[in-house]
Amino acid sequence: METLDLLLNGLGTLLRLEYITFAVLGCVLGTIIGVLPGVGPAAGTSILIPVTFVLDPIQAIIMLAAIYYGALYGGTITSVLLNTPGEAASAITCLEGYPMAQRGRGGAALTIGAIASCIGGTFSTMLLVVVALPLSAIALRFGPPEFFALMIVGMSLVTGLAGASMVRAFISAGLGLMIAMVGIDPVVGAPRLTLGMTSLLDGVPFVPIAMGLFAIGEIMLNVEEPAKKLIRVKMRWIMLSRQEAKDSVMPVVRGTAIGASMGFIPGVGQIVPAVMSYVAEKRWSRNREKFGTGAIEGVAGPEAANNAYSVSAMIPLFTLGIPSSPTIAILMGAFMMHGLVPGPTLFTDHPGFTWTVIASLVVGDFILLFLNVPLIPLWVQILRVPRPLLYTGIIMFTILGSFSLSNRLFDVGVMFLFGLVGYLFRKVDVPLAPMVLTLVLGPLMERSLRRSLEMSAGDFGIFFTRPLSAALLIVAVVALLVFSLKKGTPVVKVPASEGTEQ
Amino acid sequence: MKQLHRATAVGLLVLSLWVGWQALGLRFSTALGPGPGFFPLLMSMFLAGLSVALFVQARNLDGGPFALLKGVDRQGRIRLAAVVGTLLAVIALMEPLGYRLTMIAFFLTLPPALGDRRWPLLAVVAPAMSFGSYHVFRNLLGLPLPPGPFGI
Repeated sequence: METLDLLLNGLGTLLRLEYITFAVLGCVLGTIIGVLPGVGPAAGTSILIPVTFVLDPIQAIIMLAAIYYGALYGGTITSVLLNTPGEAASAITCLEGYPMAQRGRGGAALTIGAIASCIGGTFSTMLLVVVALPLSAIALRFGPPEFFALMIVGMSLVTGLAGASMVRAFISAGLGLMIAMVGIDPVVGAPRLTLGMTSLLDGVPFVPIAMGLFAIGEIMLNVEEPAKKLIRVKMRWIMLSRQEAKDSVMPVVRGTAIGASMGFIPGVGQIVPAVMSYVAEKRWSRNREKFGTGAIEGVAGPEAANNAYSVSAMIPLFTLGIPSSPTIAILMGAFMMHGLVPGPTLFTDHPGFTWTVIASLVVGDFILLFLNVPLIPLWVQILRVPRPLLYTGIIMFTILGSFSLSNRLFDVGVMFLFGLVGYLFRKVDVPLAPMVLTLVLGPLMERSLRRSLEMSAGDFGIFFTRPLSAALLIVAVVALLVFSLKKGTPVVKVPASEGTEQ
Repeated sequence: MKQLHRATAVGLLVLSLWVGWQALGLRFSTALGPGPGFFPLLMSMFLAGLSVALFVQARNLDGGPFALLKGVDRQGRIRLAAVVGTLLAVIALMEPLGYRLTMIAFFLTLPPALGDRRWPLLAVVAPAMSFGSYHVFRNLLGLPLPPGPFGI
């Protein structure tokens, strides 16, 4: 009952014009970002963070969260109509959605995609509402050793699941940790690795790094080849037939279950739940022979899965303060820039903020459903913008965003440098996800480690004598052993393409 | 790709050795526990080991010429150079020329290099995007942007 009261209070706050406006704006921007190939939710969120500095924290996080899950809706549109995923998680939708469009059923594919996404996202939000208080109550009992161990688990899962090579994943994670140490030491206050530059005393700014890695690096990769001419399939009618609706019910249920359960596991990435749902539908469907030629189950299931995942992936962020994907790590960065620390204390110290944002997740899915289906022809027009102008515009926004953080060209230089790093890393198959996660978690990890060792007068045994900490470290070691035994076999081989989350 | 991977490994090794050297100049421990040099030294050793592992792993890859731009044709390299070059130019020119003039030059340079040479359209888009974005960010959102000569 307490949870319901808090949620209703949050809903009441959200329905004020000053907040609902930003939920709608975030949904619109997220859909546009999802439609645009070459800009994924990670790049889009990082580009728009500086814009939120003029907003209050509730408005800012509502908008950024809406951009995050809104991008998934937009990605579906281009997957179905153009056979080009707007972002990585929608790649699976191309397999059945585009053949449906070629048969004149594109409208039905988009409608079921939007409905399935809404159901998946809403279920996961309800799951967040149910587990939020109990999980955060458990997490409040964590001390520095438990937090350190939990972050080690998060890092080991992300690193183990990212890409085919553990060495490269660890390089990415190690680099992120190293960059996170630049600046003033958090305990003693001594400058570290600053090259004598006052610009680095506050550390290397996170938002330009994210913009460089995801936006600039991706654009550099895309311009290597000339822009492809997109062949558009005309959409005639958006309503589902009775049979299509009937065939979609169980795939939506299964997809939602798959996506919601995978959100708890850091490092899984957006595309894995969609792939698993597609594979499950191919196995369980009564119309297996239709797969590859436009089976609606192959759209409904994956769309429910990736949206269910996108919201349930926020559960570790809200309750434990652990981001489970690069975009959520960027969201976590945005939280901290607005003076909020994600984790169990969010519910006790800022209940009004927290429950308003959670309420926005409930409402956001319905906003997207009503925005997306009737306005599809409008979203498709965005794709008429020529790529040269599109890329120039995106780079302009990244320059604006980087500069306006602290009014320094230094930050634009950081963005440029990490654009080169992002491009190089894509070429040598070093995954970006571990770096982004450790950039955000690094300072928290170091603080937890050093506080733990202060508590134990330098004795590392503290991590093993406390049962919860020991259990978490065992989980981390087992996970790394399992992943290293499966080396060379990535969970999902994701091609280096637009805003890929790995 | 072998040389590219090895060059990356060497670069990472140099970086980790530098970080380790910097960390040795900081206190490793204090009366309260690990000092500011503890984590950087640990990370530098970790990354140095991984760099060596990456270097060794590269032996299984194809040899051949330096492969960063392998498979990218001449036009692709020009487009790539244009993105890098115009970004560097923006960083160099933004303070002396101001945001608006720099962005006009940016919009008149990069799209043609990427393949869009519709000059009449660019003549409209360049000032529109430059002045429009300045107005939104500077006047509506209150985020400061550098002015150019004569207040442009």
